[in-house]
Amino acid sequence: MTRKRMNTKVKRIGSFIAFLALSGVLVAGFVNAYSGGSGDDTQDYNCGTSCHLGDANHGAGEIQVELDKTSVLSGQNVAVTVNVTLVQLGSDSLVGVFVLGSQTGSDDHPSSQGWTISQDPNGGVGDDAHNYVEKHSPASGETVTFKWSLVAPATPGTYVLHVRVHHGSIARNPLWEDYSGTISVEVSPLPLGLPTIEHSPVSTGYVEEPTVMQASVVNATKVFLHWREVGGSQFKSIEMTNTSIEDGNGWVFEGSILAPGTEVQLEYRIIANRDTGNGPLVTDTAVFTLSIQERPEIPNMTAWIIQIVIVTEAVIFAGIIGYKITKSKEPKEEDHDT
Amino acid sequence: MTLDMRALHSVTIELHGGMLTLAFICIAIKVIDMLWGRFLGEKGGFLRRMLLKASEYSSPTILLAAIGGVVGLLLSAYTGASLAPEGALQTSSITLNKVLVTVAATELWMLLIAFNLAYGDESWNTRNRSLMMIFTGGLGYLFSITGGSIGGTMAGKVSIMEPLWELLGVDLHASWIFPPELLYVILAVVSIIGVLLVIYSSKVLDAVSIRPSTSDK
Repeated sequence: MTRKRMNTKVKRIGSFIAFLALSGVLVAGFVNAYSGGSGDDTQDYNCGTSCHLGDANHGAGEIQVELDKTSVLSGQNVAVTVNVTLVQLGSDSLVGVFVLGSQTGSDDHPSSQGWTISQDPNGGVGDDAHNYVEKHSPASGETVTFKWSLVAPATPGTYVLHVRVHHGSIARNPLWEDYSGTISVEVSPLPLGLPTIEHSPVSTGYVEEPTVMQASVVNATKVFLHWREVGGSQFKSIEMTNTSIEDGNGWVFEGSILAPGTEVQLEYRIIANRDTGNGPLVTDTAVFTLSIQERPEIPNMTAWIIQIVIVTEAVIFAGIIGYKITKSKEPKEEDHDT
Repeated sequence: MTLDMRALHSVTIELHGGMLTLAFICIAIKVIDMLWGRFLGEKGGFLRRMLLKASEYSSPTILLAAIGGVVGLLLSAYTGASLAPEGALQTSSITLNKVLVTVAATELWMLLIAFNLAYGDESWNTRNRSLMMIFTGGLGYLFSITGGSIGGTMAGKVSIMEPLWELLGVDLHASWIFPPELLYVILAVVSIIGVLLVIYSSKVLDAVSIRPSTSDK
């Protein structure tokens, strides 16, 4: 075989290997059903990629669901806690849980039923509060806890929520399972004169720094901020201060939690009282999670510029020097020939 | 139909990860072939013949896989940037470090491609050229997997390289990945090399310009 024909053959085979590798990496992503997770998102009952389907992929985990209250007033918060215990976790140890308003496959987000997610299990609030959330499991058989805070719909009635779990097996099958029980919440109309609280949950605070909580409150004479370490026995409490400059739709109250000196998970809630003379009328929010972290370092742009200049200069000079060295000698003068 | 940038980012990560790993494996095959040839010669029978065949196939594969890997790196940089929170470059050291490491990886792999295109089939037929290919490919791959490790950390996942960073005392979350004192020395050395290169190049140019042309002879 001539050298030219050999080279052509080698190039063809190389191209084929590269094509196979490209096809492999593209196909692998679908076969493994996002083995690295698809990320927290807004999802219907069957998520967009629909990898987790069929009886063969039905998981065998244990799902427990707890509500902090089964009866709630319109516009008040309810906390949905989902405990997932799985022994079939794959090597990624990733568990994804959905909280849903229906199981039809479209418009399943709780907001379709009138619910608002005020805080998701990963601390997402506002537009970043998702109904599908992923967490890492410490190990196979360990329980992973997900907690959502939902604001009850404005229309009174009985509402049903659903929970679905996605995970992978050790054999990397895209497993799924549904919570088989009923999660029913009775939403009642607000009694006349009851205090109401509007509060955007705060999910992150920094070590040894105060985290300011703000709430817009109507019909209350006193507002309190309660907090404790997650799993702790007693709440600490302070009375929040009315900081309103003028009357609007509600009075603005502020209070702050001074974070401890170490990274820790706190939970808090806000309680509003109104003394009517015939006993107090009381409203409280759901219990929200506040993650206390070290304040991230502000990036040093000078450091980054110096490092990127070094890297770029080093590569350019290495290229020039390398080219001069390799160009200066003929192949036959070298001591190696493959 | 909306384009899910997160899904696209996953695909581009797989693309450059797979391609660059293929290129690195082929470089490793070339290295094993060279070491075998140096220390064992043509001994080894079937195994040697297989290695020679694999080595031949590896040469064009390195170029193709490196090109695919660089395209994947650039695409994943674009998709990753569109997923990053607004202002992340001003507020997050780890995001800046991810950019730094990705730039380094891309530059090194582009250097390898440039060498491969410059020398073609003869990219591996001298010791110096082979060393250059191994240096650029090896270092490029190291930066690529470091970028992947940072990406995993940014996505809230655990990187298998974290024990290695702990062992080496490298903090990927800090503004200075390496101690500033060390980097200032490296910057000085690199800059001196640059100045020397400029002087050397200008001398070569001078020598070329004063040499009589063949038509004057």
